[in-house]
Amino acid sequence: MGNRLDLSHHINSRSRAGLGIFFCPGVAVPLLLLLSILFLQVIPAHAFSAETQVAQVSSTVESGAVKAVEGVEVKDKASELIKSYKAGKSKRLKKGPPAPALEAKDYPVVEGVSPRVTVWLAAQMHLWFAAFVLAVPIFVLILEVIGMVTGDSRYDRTAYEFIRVSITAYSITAITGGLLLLSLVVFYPALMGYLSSVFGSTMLGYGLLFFIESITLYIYYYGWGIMNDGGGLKRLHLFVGLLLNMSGTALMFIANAWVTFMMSPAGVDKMGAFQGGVFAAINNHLWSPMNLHRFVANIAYGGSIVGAYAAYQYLSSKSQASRAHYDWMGYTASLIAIGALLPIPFAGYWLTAEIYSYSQQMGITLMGGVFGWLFIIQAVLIGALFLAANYYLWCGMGRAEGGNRYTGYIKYIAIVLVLSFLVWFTPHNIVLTASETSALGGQYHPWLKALGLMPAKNTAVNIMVIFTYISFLLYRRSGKASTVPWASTATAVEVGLFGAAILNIIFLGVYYGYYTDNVYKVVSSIPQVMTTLTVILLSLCIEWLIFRRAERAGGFTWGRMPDRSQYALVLIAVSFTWLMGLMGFVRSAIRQNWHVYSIMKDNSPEAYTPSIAYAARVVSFGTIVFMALIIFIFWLSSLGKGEENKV
Amino acid sequence: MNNFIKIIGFGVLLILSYTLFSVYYVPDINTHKSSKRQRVVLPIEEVGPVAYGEEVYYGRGGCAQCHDSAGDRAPELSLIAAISASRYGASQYTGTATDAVGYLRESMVEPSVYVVEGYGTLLGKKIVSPMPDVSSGSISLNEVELAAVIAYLQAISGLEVTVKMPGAGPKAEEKNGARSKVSKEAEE
Amino acid sequence: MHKLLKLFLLILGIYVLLKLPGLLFGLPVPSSLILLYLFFAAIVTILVMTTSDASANELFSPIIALLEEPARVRQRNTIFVILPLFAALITYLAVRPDSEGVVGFRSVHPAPPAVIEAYGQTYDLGTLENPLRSLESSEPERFRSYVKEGGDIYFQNCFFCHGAKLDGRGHYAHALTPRPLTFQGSDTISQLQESYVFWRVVKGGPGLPKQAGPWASSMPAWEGILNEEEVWKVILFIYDYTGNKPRQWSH
Repeated sequence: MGNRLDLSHHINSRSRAGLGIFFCPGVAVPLLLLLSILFLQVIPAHAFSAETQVAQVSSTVESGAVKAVEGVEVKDKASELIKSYKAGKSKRLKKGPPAPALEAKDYPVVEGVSPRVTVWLAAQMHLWFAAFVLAVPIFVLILEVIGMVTGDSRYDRTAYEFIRVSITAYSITAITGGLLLLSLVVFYPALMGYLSSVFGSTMLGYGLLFFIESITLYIYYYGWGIMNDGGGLKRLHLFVGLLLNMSGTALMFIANAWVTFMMSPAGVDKMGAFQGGVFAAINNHLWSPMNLHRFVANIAYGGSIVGAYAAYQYLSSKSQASRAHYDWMGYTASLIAIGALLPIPFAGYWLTAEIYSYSQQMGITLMGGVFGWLFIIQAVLIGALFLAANYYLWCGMGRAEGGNRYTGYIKYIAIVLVLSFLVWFTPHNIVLTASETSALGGQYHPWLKALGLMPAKNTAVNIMVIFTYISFLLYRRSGKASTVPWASTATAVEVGLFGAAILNIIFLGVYYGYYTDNVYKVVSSIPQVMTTLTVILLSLCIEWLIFRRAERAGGFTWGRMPDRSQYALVLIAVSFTWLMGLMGFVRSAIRQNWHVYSIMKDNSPEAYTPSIAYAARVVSFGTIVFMALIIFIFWLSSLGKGEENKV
Repeated sequence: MNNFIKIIGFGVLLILSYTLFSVYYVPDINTHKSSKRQRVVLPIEEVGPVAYGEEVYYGRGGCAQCHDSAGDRAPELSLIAAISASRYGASQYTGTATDAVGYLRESMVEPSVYVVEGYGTLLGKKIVSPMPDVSSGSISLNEVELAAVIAYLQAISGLEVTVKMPGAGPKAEEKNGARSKVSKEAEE
Repeated sequence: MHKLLKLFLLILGIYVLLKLPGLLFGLPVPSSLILLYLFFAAIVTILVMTTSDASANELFSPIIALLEEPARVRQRNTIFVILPLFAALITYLAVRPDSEGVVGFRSVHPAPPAVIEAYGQTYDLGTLENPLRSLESSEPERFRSYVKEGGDIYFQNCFFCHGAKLDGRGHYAHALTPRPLTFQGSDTISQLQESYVFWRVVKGGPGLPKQAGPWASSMPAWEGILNEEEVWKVILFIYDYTGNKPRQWSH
C-alpha cells in the first residue's frame, strides 16, 4: 500500500453528519460575533455619556481614589478630553470614548451565580479546547509532512486519526467560545462595550478568520482520502493544511491582542480613549511575547494530549501490532511535546521580563508577594513534567536490545535532575515556624536564600534541559551501534562539550548572579540559554555524523515498554492542562483590580485577588471537566472508527 | 475498561495532589480579607456624620490599627473629646487650638503638637509623634472625612457633636459618591 | 544489598543530611522545605529503581511477598498493627498543643504602587531616579560628601533598628516582628530600584498597599521626619556601605 491510505470508502457515508458539525460553528460563531457587536453598541450608553463621565472623572480625581497621575491637571485634561471627544464625534473622527468609570450598579447581578467564576471557567474551558484545536492541526501537518518525506504510512494514519478527533473538538471549542462571549456580555457589558470601542474592527476579522478556518478544516479532513495520491493533490492537501494552521494561528494572535491589551493597554490615551490606530492597540507591549509563549506551548500541549491518548490505547491494546503502533505514537507525540516544552521556560522568561519592563508594580506582584508562591507550584509541576519525560525515555531503553549499556548512567542523570529540581523550586520566602525564624534571625536562611533567586533558578533549569537532552541521546544510542572508527573520539568530544557547557552555565549563574553588579543578573540568563542551545545543536550534529551509517544494534522493538511508563505520558497531559489553567489565572490576576490595567477599574464586588488555594480548586474543577469532555470526544470519534473497521 | 479506570484514577489522583499541595503546603494568603469594618462606606447623607466617621476611623483612615483598646501603640481615644482641654491647656502643647474640635483636628493633621507621654519618639532633641498626617500621604482624608472622624470621637466620648460639616453642597456629595465605591468587602 | 533496603537507607541519609545544618550550625533547614525535598528525592529514587521490569520486581518483591505469602502471617499482622500506630504517632505530634508560635508568612518586598504622593508632589515610581546618583560619575567628590551625610542621617535615625553594620541587627531589632531588613548581601536592596527604596523609606509600613499583601512592617513613615534630599542621601549611603548597586531595568 505504500504511503497511500485509502479512506475514501467511508467518507461519503459520513459527510452529511460532518456538514452539520461544520455548519454549526462555522456559521454560528461569526453570526454570534456580529450580533454581539451590534448589541454592545447599544448597551453601555449610560456608562459612556459624557456628563456622567465628567462627574465621575472629576470626583475620582478629587478623592484620589484612582491613580490620578497629575492631580488637578487630570481633571482639566479629562474635561478637555471629553470636549474634544464630543467635538470629534461631530467631526466623525475615529477616536473612541474614554474608558467608563464603573460603579457596582454597572455590573448585572444574577442571583446565585458568581460572574467571575462563570467567566473564568468559560474562558479557561475555551482556552483549553482552543489550544487543543489549534495544536492538533499543527501536529497533524508536521506528521503528514514527515510521512510524505519518509514514506512511512504510520505517520499518515496517525495524522488522520487525530484530525478526526479535532473535528469534534472544534465544535466544542466554538460552543465554549460562545459561552464565554455570552457570559462576558451578560456580566461585564460595560467592559465589553469599551473593548469593542477599541477592537470592534478586529472582531469582524476574527469572525472572518473563523470562517476560513472552518472551511479549510472541512476540506482538510474530508479531502484526506481523496487527495491522498502521493503527488500534486497531496501537495495541495498539505497547502490546505498550512492555510488551516495559518488562519488558526492568526485567530489566536487576535485573541491574544485583546487579552494583552487588558494587561498593557496601548493605542489609547491616559483616560482610555481610543486614538484610532487599531494596530497600535494590537501590537501592545506584551503581544509578541504572549504570541510566542502560547504558540510554542500549544504545540507541546497538543503533543501531550495525543501522547495520553496513545498511552490509553497502548494499555488497552490486545494485539502486538496495535501495541507497537500506539507505543510508536506515544513516543512520537511525547517527543514533539518535550521538544516544544524545552524552549517554553525561555519564552516565559521573555514574557516575564516584558511584564517587568512594562510595569514594575505588575512585575513584583507577579514574582514577589502573593504570586511568588504560585511560581513555586509552577516549579513543582514543571519539575514533574521533566521527571516524567526523563522517566519515559529511561523506560524506553528497554525497547532496544542494547539498552542495558546505558542504564548505568540513569542514576547519575537522576541525581543531577534532583539537585536542579530542588534548587528550581526552593522559595525565596520560606514558610518558617516561629522557632526557625528566631534561630535564623530573619525570614531567610543564610545558605538557602541564594537558591531562591532567579540566577540560581536559571542555572538549574538550563542544567535540567541539558540532562533531559542527554537522556534522549542515550535513549537514541541504545538502539544503534556505530560503524565509524572515530566514534569513541567523537563521544569524548561530546562529553567534553557537555562538561564545558555545564561549567559555563554554572559560572555565569554564580558569578554574574551573585558576585557582580546587579545589572548583569537578568542579562546573564541570555548567554546561559545560548550555551544550552549551542551544545544541543552541536551534539545533534555529531550524533548525526556518527550514526549516519550506523547499524541497528537490534533496533527498537516497539511495544516493549513497561505499563508504568505509559502513566508518565498521562502525567504529562494532566499536568500540562492543570498548569495552563494555573498560569492563565496568574496572567489574568496580576491586573489586580483593573479590567484594563491602569485605565479601567474593576469595581464589581469580586474585584479582589482570590487566594492561590481558591484558584487551585477552580483550576482543578476545570481540569476535571475538561478531561471528561476530552475523553467523551475521543469516545465519540472511536465510534466512527468502529464503523470504519467494519467496512 | 480496567485500564480506563486506572488511568482516570491516576489523573484524578494527580489533580488532587496538585490541589492539596496548593491548598495545604502553600501558605494561605488572603489579600482581600481586611477589617470587616472596611466593608461598606455609605454616603454621609444617608448615615450621618457620626456613623460615617466611624467607617473612616475603622476603614480608610486606618486609625484603629494603632488606636485600639490595648493602647500599646497609640493612646486610647474613647474619652479623647472629653479630656482634650487638658491637652491644649498643657504646658508642653505647641499648637494653636482653643477648643476640643480644633484640637482634635490639629492632632490629626499635625500630631506632634502634643505628644502623649510614653508614645513619642525622639527626633534629635525633640519628642515627636510617630503618627502620620492623615490629611496627606497614603491616607489623605479630606475635610469631610476629618470632620466626620471628629464627630465620631465626640460621640464616643459621650459629648454633643459640635463639629461643623464643611461644604455640605453638591461637591461633598460627589466625593462621597466616589468614595462609596472605593472599598468593598467581598467574600468567596 | 536489597533494593528496598537501599531505598530506605537513601531516604534516611538525605533526611540526616538535611538535618545537619540545624544540628551543627544552629541554622536549621526549614521543616517545610525538608518535607518537600524528601518527597521529591524519594519519588525520583523510586522512578530510577523502576525503569526496567526486572528492577521494579526486585524493588517490590519483598512487599508483595509480605502481603501474599501464607507463611508470613505473623510478620504481616505485626506490620498491620505497627503502621496505624505510626500514623497515629505522627498525627499526635502534629496536633498536640505546644508553645510554638503561629507560622508567620509575609512578602518582604511587596509590590509598590505606581505613583506616590509625598512632599507635596507626585512621584511616578516607574521613572523615578535618585537625583544624586548621577553625581557618582560627574562629581565624585560631591558624591562622596553626600554619601557621608547620608551616613550621618543613617546613624541618627535608622541605625537603632537596622544596625551599625546595616545587617538588620540594631539595638531594637530583637523586639520587632518581623525583624528589620538587613541591607547586606546581594539579595536585599540590590534587588530593588532606588525608587522602590525611596517609597519604602518615605511611606514606611503604613504606606504598604492592601493588594500587595501579605505584609507586615514596623518601618515608620519617614516623610514627616526626613526631607526628600535626606532620604536620597541615606539611600546613597546604604548602597555605598554595603557595596551594592541599585537595580536598573534598562538592559
